[in-house]
Amino acid sequence: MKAKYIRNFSIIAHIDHGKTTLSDRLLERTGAVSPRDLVKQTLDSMELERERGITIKSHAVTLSYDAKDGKNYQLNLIDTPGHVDFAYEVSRSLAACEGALLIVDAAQGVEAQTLANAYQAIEHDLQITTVVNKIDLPSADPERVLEQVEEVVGLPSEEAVLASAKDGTGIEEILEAIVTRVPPPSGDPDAALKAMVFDSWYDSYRGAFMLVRVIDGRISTKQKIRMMATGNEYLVEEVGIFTPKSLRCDSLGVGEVGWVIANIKQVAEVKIGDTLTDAHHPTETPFPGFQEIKSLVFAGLYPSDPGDYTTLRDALDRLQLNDSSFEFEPEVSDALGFGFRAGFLGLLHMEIIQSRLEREFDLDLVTTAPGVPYRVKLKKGEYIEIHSPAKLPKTQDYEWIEEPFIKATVMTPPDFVGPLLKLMEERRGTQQSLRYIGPGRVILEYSLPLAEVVSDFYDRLKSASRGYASYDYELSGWQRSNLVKLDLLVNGQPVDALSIIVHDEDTYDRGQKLASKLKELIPRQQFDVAIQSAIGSRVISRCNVRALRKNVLAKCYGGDVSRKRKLLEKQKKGKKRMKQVGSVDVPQEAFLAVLKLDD
Amino acid sequence: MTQRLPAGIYIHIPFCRERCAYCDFAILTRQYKRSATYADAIVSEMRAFSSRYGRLDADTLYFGGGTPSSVPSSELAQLISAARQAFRLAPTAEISIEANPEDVSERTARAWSALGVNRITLGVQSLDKKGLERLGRPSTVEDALEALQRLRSADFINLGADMIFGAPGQSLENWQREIERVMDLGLDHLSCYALEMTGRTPLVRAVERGDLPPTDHDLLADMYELTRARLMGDGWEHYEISNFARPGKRSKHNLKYWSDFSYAGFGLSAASYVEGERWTAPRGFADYLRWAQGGCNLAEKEAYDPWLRAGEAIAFGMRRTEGVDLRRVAGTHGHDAVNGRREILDQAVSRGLADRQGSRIRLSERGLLLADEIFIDLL
Repeated sequence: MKAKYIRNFSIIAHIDHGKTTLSDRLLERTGAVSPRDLVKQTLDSMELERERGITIKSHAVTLSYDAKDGKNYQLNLIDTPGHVDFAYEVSRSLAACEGALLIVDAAQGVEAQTLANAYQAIEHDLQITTVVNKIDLPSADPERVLEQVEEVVGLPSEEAVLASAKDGTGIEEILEAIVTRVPPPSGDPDAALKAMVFDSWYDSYRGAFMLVRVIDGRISTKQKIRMMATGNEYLVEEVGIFTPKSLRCDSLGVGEVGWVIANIKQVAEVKIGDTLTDAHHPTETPFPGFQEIKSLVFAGLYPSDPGDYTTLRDALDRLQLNDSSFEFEPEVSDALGFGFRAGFLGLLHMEIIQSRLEREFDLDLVTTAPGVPYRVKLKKGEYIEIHSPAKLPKTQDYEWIEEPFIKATVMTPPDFVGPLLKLMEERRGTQQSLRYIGPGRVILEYSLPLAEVVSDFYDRLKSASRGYASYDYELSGWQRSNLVKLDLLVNGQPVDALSIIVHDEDTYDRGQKLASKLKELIPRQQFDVAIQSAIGSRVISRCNVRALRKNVLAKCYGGDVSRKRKLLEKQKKGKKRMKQVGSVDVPQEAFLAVLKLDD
Repeated sequence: MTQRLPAGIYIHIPFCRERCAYCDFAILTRQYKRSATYADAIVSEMRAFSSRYGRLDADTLYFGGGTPSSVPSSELAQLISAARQAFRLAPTAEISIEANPEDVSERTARAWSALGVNRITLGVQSLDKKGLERLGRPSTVEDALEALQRLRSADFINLGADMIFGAPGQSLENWQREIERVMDLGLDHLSCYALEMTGRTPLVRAVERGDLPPTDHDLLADMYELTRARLMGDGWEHYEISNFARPGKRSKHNLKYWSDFSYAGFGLSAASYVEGERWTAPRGFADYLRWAQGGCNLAEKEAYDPWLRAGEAIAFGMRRTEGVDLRRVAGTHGHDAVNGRREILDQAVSRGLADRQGSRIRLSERGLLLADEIFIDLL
């Protein structure tokens, strides 16, 4: 297909604004999928995605559309992940497009995520068409929504399409807008191959699949290609497109989007954002914007039953085959035994991996409180990055600690500004701006430490705004902070898995809360258990779990022997599920206590 | 395995007028018309027992329940005579019956005495009107006092009472008053049980609903310590976790359970321990009758396992305040099974839960209340 008949676009939207339904309508209207084939919503294929109603991995579908100008067009719909954890993948998907549809819910209006995505699309120079969706809702107010879009995003309201993906209104107009407004790809068909990888996954029969967008030249079967970031070379076995059924073709030319398999054994060899080129006639410069994916959230993963260690390791290996964006390395904890320290793109990503481990591999896990990476400037001069509080060097060995900061954007109705400002202050936020957009919306921009949002920030934001505020963030870099390591001691013994890195100002409050939370969670034992929180050798707070006084069955006669034995066995099982810290039995929930300090 | 004899005989009478609020035992309420059939089933069970094990020596016979005092004396007579045929019951045997106050009349007291019953355990449970209500007992404080009067005039060798403390809502002061009263009754034996909130009993459900306060285990511990202090100060011997006796008045039968002696249980859900094997009769009434009449074939007999039995012998032995002689357990079940528990027992001693004197180990005062912390590891 000639590039002038190709249109590459993606759909960006806040959760629940109707992205998936609209995608399905477009597929249906272009004949890609018959309504009967729609497994509810086609593009979100992972079970978890459907459950949570969000798109985790991106996809690309090639649609064939006969436009009103009498010509046939190839429309490539590139789906983008709908969560901030996958911001880099979003940026690569957008980089593969020339246009975007910005979906806004006609009743809800512009949300933080809409804004973040729209700004990203603008940064990528995409032609944006606003689609006000759900105009069939009784509460729809398209006028107001268009005003917001014009004021916040700066998109002219005259060009917007009013639609209802649910009843099909506006679908035709959207397709025409794509054809007439989105510019065709502009690459050089005669130049050396340059194609950008924007997604990959693992297939147990074929190895790694890559989704690519061809920038220049052509990629064909039997071609020897080179991945520019890794330098690895492969022979292309097959290329094809999704319609959404997988169809083989001989080659993909300028502007086309499709899949490539090249006998790549591990998905980890494929870097998202990398450039493919011809091994014999390589292009000189790679497609810009490539970054190594970096983990932002780290947590310890331990099997509840130490006997499951190998199962856990195999499960992590298996999952990594398909998702190279998380990392893990063995870790040993005094309290929890053998496990792994794993790094994730964000909290959602962590939850997904955790739940897949439990679901697909039937593992019972103890997950420690999630934390962020820290950069530590050593006295010796160099920097080290640590992923676990336990790895923090001794105070006398380092100069300072830096932590990742984010720029957070919160959108809220004006009524909740007060509680939200308070929340942001509590989380060490610095206000960058506060803007009213029309009567109904306020945008807050804050700079705050990533560590302050990885635990329960989202829940708190929602409760401070009765569910109305939305939020998005982007990473803004490292900053020096006054941080210290807070240790928890049980009967004088530090529990490594409970150490956290906190801001100096918060130590007293957190130390006290953590110690009293643990007091609640640790059952009474045969002796008094002292719980202390401390910074180095300075004790911040202490409390006691008083010794158990009574644990005896009053009656025990002949008839009871087997019954009593059963009762005692039940107690024994409960004890076995606990982890031993010295001679103290600590229940597994205690290791997540730090997450529940405000309950 | 050397079997410790003479054995004890236990006969379970599952009939009760109604179920008390704390009870989750295998009982039948308002089913007295079935008691004759039931007695016949026990007789067949005893015959099957003696044809399998021969006529074992026995020196205790215990009617437990349920409410054994609520069935006709003629049935008790039938069961005692069947027991005498199936066992060589010593002439001086201790023959006990658990009685409810409302069943004790001058006539029943005389009848039991005539049958050779020499030990009565009266189910008093509480000497407080409110307390009895809380426990859902059918009788009153006056019933209990009158019953004791009648039993005393019938001249039993050993007259005891069962008491329960720690019912939801009972205060330490309430319990202290009850203890003082029960000490004035001139009894020979006292069992004081901390209330156990297990099973789906009305009491458990009331606590779950929030109608009653949940068990305060520290309060139970206080009540227990108070009981021990008061009774021991008054010359009572504390001989098992929940049992007290005047000198020479310990329950010979119950000591069998704690001292690794053999016992044969008859009737619904009754448990036996003979030649190192344990088994329990069916818990359902119809199942039990079918089983007893069909020759008592046990599918789920627990075979002799020296490791398990030694653990039980140590744990149950430690329930006695005099403790257990580990050499004796090793003699019965082998040295390995005892040596294998050394670490557990040493830890108990080092944590102050138990004391050792030579080959004997026993619970310390604190250990009496934390016994299961040790038993969990022993069993």
